[in-house]
Amino acid sequence: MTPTQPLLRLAASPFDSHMLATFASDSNLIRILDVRQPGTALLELRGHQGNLNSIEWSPHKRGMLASGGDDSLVMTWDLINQENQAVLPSINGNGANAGDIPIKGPSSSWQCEYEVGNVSFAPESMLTAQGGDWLGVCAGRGVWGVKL
Amino acid sequence: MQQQQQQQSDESAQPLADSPQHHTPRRQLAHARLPSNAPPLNYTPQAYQQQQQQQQQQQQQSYTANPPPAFNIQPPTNSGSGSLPSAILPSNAGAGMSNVPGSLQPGAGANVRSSAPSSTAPASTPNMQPHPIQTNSQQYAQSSQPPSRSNTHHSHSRSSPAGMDGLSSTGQKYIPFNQTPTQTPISSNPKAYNASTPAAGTSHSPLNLTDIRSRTISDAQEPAMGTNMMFSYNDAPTNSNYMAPFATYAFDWCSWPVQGGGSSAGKMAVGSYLEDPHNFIQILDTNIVPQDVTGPGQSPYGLEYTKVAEATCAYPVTRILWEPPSATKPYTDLLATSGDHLRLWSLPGSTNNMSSNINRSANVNTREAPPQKLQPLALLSNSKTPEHTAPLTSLDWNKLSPKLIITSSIDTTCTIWDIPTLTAKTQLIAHDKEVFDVRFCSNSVDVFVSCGADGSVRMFDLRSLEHSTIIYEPAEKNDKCKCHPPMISKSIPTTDINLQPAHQQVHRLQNPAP
Repeated sequence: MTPTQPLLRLAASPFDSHMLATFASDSNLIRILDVRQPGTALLELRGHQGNLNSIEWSPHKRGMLASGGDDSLVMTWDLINQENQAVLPSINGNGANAGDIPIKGPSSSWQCEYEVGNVSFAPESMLTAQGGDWLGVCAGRGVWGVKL
Repeated sequence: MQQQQQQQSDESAQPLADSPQHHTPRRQLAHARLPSNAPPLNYTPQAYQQQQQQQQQQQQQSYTANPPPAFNIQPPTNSGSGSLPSAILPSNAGAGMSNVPGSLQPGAGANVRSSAPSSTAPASTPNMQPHPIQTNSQQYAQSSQPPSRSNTHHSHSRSSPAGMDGLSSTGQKYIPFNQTPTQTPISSNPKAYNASTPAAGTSHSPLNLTDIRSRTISDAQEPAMGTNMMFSYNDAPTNSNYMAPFATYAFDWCSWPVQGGGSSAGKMAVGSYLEDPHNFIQILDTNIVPQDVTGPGQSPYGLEYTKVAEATCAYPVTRILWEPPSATKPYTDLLATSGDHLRLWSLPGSTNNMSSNINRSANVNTREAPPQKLQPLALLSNSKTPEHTAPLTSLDWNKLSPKLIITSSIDTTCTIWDIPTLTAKTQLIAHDKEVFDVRFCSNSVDVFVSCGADGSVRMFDLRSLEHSTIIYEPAEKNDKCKCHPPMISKSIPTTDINLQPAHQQVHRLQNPAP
């Protein structure tokens, strides 16, 4: 068996108190957990190519997540709308390897110039009133405001 | 009892003694991240390579980076079997050394680039240093081989035919790189560059580019250097990003709604993650600025950033949070950080920020009135000898009751703090190994979840700490669990996770006098 993978970060959904998102160190997949169903992941979010560093739930939009990783990518994930996601290649002929955990792809992505350390959603302001969510991205030595 | 407590504190001191070697995975991650993020002084050969790869990345993206970057939706139709799978399949990552931006091109990168030509020269950058641009463009006009040079470059960095879009702009941008040496003491490069096509080709080899870049970066350290257009471009703030003089990690965009329709989009808090004992916290204010819409879906607004306050601290900031919004006041000036301890900070009165905001749209990059000092309000430590506290890996601020903060530590514990009294309410051993993150569950002042090096996610209720629920745990145990199919709720007794010492600690904390 593989050695225990430490779980690096955790995020609790602001809309659904039973929903959690977590990822392991040196891992590029996000697991969605439901505290009412302990033991297995509800969903796996795949799309990052590098190790994850950050995961945050949107405080404005239910079921929406943003993540950032060493692949310099920021991705958003929509757990509510099934159609709003990238088409994923089937991993095997049989689908997922262990446990038949459903897999989901990102709904959007943004390529930063540096490895992404943390992401944070923008508060309500004139900016978001003008057109949708913004995401703050902290990567390398910089900070970016990114319109979703 | 006193002896027991003594023993207890010895036990809790144990991880501390180890702490220098006791790198959390995040610290290791930070190590791994540092080469590309670190200040120029720390550059290693690998970092050069990474920088150079990032440089290539920036050549494709630096123009897109200037209008506020917009998220790139990946509709299922666009990301069919052609492009996205190769970006997502882990098997491809191996070939690309996982961090090579080029390997990401088939995925998001390709889409980002396709929107690049629509956004032309950024509004703010030419204002910064118009002179070098003109020089460069003149020399660009004299030069006759940009396409071939560009091709050399593309063969290294691009795998997608979509890259042809950017050919000319990439060529343009390459000129300044090689022109830069003409304005610096290095004279051999430009000659080789102008001599013949083969020489031009080699002058664009990654190695050579790396040399130039490394020189220029170290030059960029000196503020007076005005000729490094391309590099100040990358390292200087534009109207859509802010560059800190350090590798950033902790970050929080203050979630309080911005009142009164002001031009701010809210303040940001940024913390450095440097291995040496000199770390920084900066508070940025954002300013919404209109900008030309040059492409569909582009926001009519961009952001400018003003550093309004800063502070230094020894230990890297593992997490930084603004006080959560409350209905009782219009805004907050309170921040919390985790690191060596839980620290509370206060942003000094922000009355004079407004005036600086008005002035700054003309000159984004000039330094105005020196930013204020972020005031340290409190240092919360549950040890009598603060210098021997185990590092905190994270914190969370309760949104229902902002007087509660919870922290996680590599000493396997979580601590709930009462902010008004600045005391530890409860400390418990939450995991078998280091705890890496902790969060309150939404809409609760009692329930929180934590995760850590033992690979498990656990849920606790402050009203009944004798039980915790394992929400998730490592795969081996999962397999065992599958022997007992309907797993509705797995509550384990206190003793199984060594909670007993936690109670003694709680006791000790509440009655500090031994």
